Amino acid sequence: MTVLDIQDLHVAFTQRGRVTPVLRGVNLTIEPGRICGLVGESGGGKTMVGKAITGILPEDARITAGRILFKGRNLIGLPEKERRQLLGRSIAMILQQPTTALNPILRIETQILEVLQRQMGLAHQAARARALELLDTVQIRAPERVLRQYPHELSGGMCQRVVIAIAFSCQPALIIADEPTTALDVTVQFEILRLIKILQRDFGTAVLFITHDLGVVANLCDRVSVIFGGSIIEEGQTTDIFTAPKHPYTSALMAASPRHDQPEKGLHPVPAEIVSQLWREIEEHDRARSA
Amino acid sequence: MPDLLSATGLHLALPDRTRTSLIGRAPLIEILKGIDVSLAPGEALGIVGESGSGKSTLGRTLLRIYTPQQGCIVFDGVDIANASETAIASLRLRMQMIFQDSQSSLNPRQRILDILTAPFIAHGIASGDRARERAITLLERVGLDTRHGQRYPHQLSGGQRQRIGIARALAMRPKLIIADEIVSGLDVSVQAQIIALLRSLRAEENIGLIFISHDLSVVRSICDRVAVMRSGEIVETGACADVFATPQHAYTRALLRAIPLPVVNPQWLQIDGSDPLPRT
Repeated sequence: MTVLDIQDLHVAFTQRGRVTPVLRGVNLTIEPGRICGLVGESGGGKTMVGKAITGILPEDARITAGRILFKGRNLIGLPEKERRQLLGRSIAMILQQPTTALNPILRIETQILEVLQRQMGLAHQAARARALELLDTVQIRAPERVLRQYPHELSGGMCQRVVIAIAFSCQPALIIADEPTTALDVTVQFEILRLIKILQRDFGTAVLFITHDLGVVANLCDRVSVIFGGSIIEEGQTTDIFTAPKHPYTSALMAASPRHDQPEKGLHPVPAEIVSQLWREIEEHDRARSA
Repeated sequence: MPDLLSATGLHLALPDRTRTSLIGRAPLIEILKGIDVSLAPGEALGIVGESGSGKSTLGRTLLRIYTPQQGCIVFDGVDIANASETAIASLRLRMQMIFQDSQSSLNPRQRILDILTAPFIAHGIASGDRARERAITLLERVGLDTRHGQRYPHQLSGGQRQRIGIARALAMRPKLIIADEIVSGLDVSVQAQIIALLRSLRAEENIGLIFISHDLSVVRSICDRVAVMRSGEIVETGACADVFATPQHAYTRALLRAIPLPVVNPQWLQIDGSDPLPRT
């Protein structure tokens, strides 16, 4: 059964009475145990998709149409209590800044145990044993010591490992990872990507991987959706998209990505016509919808 | 041809603010451990490394924003490491720096045109309409126009602000520009535009460029030579073509292999069977 099925999702901001659409009919599905990349440039709406799924949209934004089906159940309009139960237990998040995802004044132990006790109903001793096991799973060498530490005592990479441990702790069906390696050094990014891939494979978790980096998508994801102006302009198997992209914007993004192996193939600016054509289509779409 | 810039045996230690005690001074921590770099006129040198490698500190030391404890820095024939502030003040016009955070390096209360006329007025080069004309010429050189001159920094996009940073650096016709992570945080399409701009400026004028970046791919496409830094030392240096094709140092190889290329490669993550990762 499809884990996540987003149908015609529309989100709009309302500021001083003016309505600005940010998502214009997003369609996206993820099958169990698959990694789906959602790639696009800033302002494209990729982060908003993740926020809409988890119900943490900014105050002035709201869902104006569409459905977000998680295992067949619509998350939109779900009573707060049920939504809270799902989040953390069945849907977990990994964000760009691991240091902000963790509470700076609580020891790592307190933060992991809280999740295990509340979501999994484990007793203190059992939760502690499970926490050590999880830290070991995310390749932390001295789990006992890390449990006693505070987030600021850990490097960015270590913090992200802890966040990943918490995300996988309840064996969720879906993990939403929003730029989880963007703030990390490239060698640390490699280790974290590898870790996410191994864990999602071993736990059979579906992952929505939100990123601006086509290199990460090419090497990590099974499928990829390219987002621009709040709609998915191209979707498909990663190998198909990278060997034969159909949308000119997708090919332009690939040509804009830097290539140290073949420098002449990279860093070509995106032709202005492609972007202006996309905006014309968006304006038409907006006019048609408001008419 | 003599070097435009040549630094030898640079040592720099700064107070370790994470270990400040109530009594006495914070202990010094060594950041640059004997750095040698040189740059020919018009050459572009990339300095790459991960966070904490000392690459940004090196850039600032080369401009004597930090004074090294040991070593010398010769710019255009003058040793600026040991010269007085007044002696290097005039040289500073010929060496400019562009920063990553274009938002905070531009005065938010000044219009772009005022930001760009300021150096001409301050150094008595031009004033009034003449300064204005020069500022507009600068705007055009970086692909913007008069309309952008009327705006405030926050009204421009990140890419446009970075163009202003470049325009301001060009104002005094520098011989050397040190660019510190100037395309990090920009979208790939904008990044490509800024790199294209830097490339064309380099082709027009004989400006030496020190391009500091964590991104080896970007350095590959704009620099002639590259120096790889780790923990305050240069572990490998050479022509880009050579270093990228046949990296000699294990760390350079590790950095290169960790960069995900926009090409599908199922072997890249090195996951076969269930081999465990080393614990960190």
